[in-house]
Amino acid sequence: MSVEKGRVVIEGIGLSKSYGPITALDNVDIEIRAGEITALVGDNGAGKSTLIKILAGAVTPDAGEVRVNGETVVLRTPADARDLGIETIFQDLALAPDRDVVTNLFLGREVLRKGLAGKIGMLDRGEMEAQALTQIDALGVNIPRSTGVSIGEMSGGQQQSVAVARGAFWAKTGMFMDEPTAALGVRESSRVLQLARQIAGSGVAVVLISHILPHVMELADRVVVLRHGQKVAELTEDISMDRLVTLIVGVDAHEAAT
Amino acid sequence: MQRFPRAVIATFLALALIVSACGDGDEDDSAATTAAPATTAAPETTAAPETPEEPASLLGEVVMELPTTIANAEQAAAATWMLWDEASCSFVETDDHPDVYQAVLRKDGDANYRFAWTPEDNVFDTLIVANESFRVAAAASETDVTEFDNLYPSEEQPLVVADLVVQHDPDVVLSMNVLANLNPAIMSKYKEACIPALAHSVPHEGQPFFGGGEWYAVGRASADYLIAVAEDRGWTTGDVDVLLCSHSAFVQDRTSPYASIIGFREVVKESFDVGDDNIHELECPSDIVTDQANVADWLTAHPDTQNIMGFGINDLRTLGMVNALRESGRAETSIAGGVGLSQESVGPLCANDPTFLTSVDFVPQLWGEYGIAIAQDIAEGNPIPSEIYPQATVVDAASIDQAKC
Amino acid sequence: MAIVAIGIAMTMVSPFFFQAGNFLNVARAVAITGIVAAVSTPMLISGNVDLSVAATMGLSGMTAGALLVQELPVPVAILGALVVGLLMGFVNGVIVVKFRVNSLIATIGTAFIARGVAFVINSGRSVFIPAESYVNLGQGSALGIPKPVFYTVVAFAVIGFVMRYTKVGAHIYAVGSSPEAARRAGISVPKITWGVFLASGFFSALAGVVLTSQAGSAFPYGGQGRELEIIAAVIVGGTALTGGRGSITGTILGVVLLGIIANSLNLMGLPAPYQDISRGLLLVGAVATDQLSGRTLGGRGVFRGLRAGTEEA
Repeated sequence: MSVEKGRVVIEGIGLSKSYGPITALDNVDIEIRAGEITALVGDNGAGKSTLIKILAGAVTPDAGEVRVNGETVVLRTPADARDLGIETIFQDLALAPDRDVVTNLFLGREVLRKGLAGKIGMLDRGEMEAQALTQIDALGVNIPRSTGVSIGEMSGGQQQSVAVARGAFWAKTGMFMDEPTAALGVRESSRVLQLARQIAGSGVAVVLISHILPHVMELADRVVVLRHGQKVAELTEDISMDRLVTLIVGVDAHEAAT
Repeated sequence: MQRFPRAVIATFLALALIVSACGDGDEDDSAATTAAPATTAAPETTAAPETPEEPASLLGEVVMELPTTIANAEQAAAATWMLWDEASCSFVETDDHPDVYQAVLRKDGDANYRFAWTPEDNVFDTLIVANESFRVAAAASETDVTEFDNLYPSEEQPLVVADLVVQHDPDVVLSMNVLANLNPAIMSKYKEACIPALAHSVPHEGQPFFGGGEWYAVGRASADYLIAVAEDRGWTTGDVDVLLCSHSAFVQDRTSPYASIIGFREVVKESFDVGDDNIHELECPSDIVTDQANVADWLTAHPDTQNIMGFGINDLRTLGMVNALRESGRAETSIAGGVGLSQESVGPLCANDPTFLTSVDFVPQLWGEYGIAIAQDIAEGNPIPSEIYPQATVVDAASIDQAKC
Repeated sequence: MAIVAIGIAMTMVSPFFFQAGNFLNVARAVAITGIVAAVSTPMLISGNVDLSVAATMGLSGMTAGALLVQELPVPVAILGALVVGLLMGFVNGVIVVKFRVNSLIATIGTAFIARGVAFVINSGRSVFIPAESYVNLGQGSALGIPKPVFYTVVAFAVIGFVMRYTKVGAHIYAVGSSPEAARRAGISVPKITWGVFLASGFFSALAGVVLTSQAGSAFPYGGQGRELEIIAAVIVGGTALTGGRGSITGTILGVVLLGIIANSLNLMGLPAPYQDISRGLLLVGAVATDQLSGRTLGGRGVFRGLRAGTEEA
């Protein structure tokens, strides 16, 4: 499955963003590679979310550029990023709770029927159901297979699994996960992280933001540490808990030059 | 929290703009009305000492003679007459009265009377016509009449209006407040301010009363008309059911429009011998289509009725009833009458509708002429009957003013 | 189920209930409410509410009446009424989408404005409709069925189709279920909201046309007070006031149920206040039962029968 593992597919060069007097991101370079899980760590306000939002088209940077597959792109809206195969998974509010799995999986990207029926906007419900089931099976996610069960009736872990399944379904280039396990229990968390691994394995560049350092150490191929809006380290080996904590809180600033 | 006061200020500014924009027009008006007394004020002060004989009126020429309300000595003797007594600030009964009463609208001349008219509202069909009639009559008689809207069904506005009127201090106020429970408070304000008040539409003890429409008589007149048609068609008492389209929102007494239902019911019992079992009062909320649905349901539940005589408390309800009768295939065996001569009856009457045969015109288009003429009498200290009703006329396809068609 | 039960009860109470002619009475009586209830379903599903529907009925009806009195052709009058409806929808959309005013508040405001304008059009007087071809659109029957019913069926069919089978319908559900999720999924929440308000204005105007043609008169307070009846019917039919859930099938049942109650109480000769009481009891009862059972049965209410197709739609 793994296609061109390690190739840089998404790049941020000299990205800066300020909100009034507060500098959220200060001249950050980042490279995200296919088939890898890149973890983004840092304290609150370090700039992780701002960085991911810029790469996902939700925030426009004050300076710097974004490249996808080597080409400079302008991401005005999340839809622009999605068109390039970049999906983002949030910790909440990403699903319509009254709708079922199939509807949510295709939310905003419904499959229409062929011919005239499609022209007047008729949905091809059968096709969507078939594709959704295939995706669920492929990922091996434990969610009710029956259609007509609304997302709101499922557990938090199942809901997040649906969100991840949806991301994986549409992510051709990259998938960003912003604290995907924040609202979940231990077992549900590990299920979601397993999915992340699986998705990276299929050649997608996965970016994980997490506060939970054991998860990061267990999963990440590469860890980027941000502090006060600046990139202070990028680690690929010797990722120890002590080292990460030191980097995040900035006790030993000299080590930043790794 | 900061946004809130700002929004309030903005709203106030917007309102102030609107008010000032409207106010511009008013200013012109008030300039005109205040200019008039200013020029005539001089002759008044000089004229006063020159006219020693008391009864001489300063009013001008006759503008309109309204239908005679009291025609002869016999009627005059039966009526109670009153006149305004400035000293006691109240109306007092008098035996010193003429044999005939006819409201006559005269030009204001040098009298410079100021009247106030407080209609129930300015949205109800009848009142729009009536208010317009006040404007027309005021213009024709060159009388200063100020309108204060009671904003029915507001429970506060009539009291606010009463205070405004007291401030305005007119020579006579024509008080149309249909919320009867507020009238004692309103009338005591006027008494305190020594302003004579003519109670309009809802009577008040000790006050002369102008009956808007004499609803009871309206209902009786309509029943008389429809019974004549029924007899003409050879209907007999046994084969007639009477449908009355009313509404529970109306106060069920003699002074409300509901009195037309009372009058109608009495006449069909007296003159056509219809029993109570064959008189049916239906709820018609006056949405035409809902009235129609309710009547249709009743017709379904009463499949054995032969001839139907219908009467609605106003034309809207009658139209809904007639629509239901037509849709159930009973147009040929039904006759119906309405009240108000509004568009809903004018249309069918002009079109010679076989079912909607009549409406009663209670002349709101003359309320202004009546009102100002009576107010002039009160201001002059003339005796007037304690109850005055405008003449209501039954209108049918033959008698309708073709100009309305 | 509820309808069948009430139907049986009513047949026992009044022998006239179970008659073809009486069903036509019910159908005619609910036709106008039905048209607006149909469009109010996606309105509530989208998480909005339009309280200006009744005033729009009055305003568009008066517009048609005023145009007909000017002896303009009937299609022009109808077009004028529908344009006024769309305009109302557009304005509501501007206020809700651009100024971010809560739809309840926005439409209470525009309802006052529309009702006021309806009174201004002919100085508060009604307009007797002279054009027979216009009146014939709403009076009488075709194929034995009262004409107003046809418009209602069309409204339900069109809106039901859109909600159940099309992308737009799926997006309306999504916007009502979670505006944030819809936005993140690339659905334009403003467009959907605006579209729903335009539809609401359009169908309310259509109802205004049917009302005035059936009545044979355009009157400025046409439709007054119907807005609450309409929302009651939609809610009884299982649509959530909070958005995201509901179905046209449910609304049809809600409308018919309320119509049957009014009809049977009329047949029994019970006065109007009792109708109001039963309508209120039904509404409160339906919603309360749903709420209670929703807690115990995992979101599935006793009135689920009324919500046929809610989730599938």
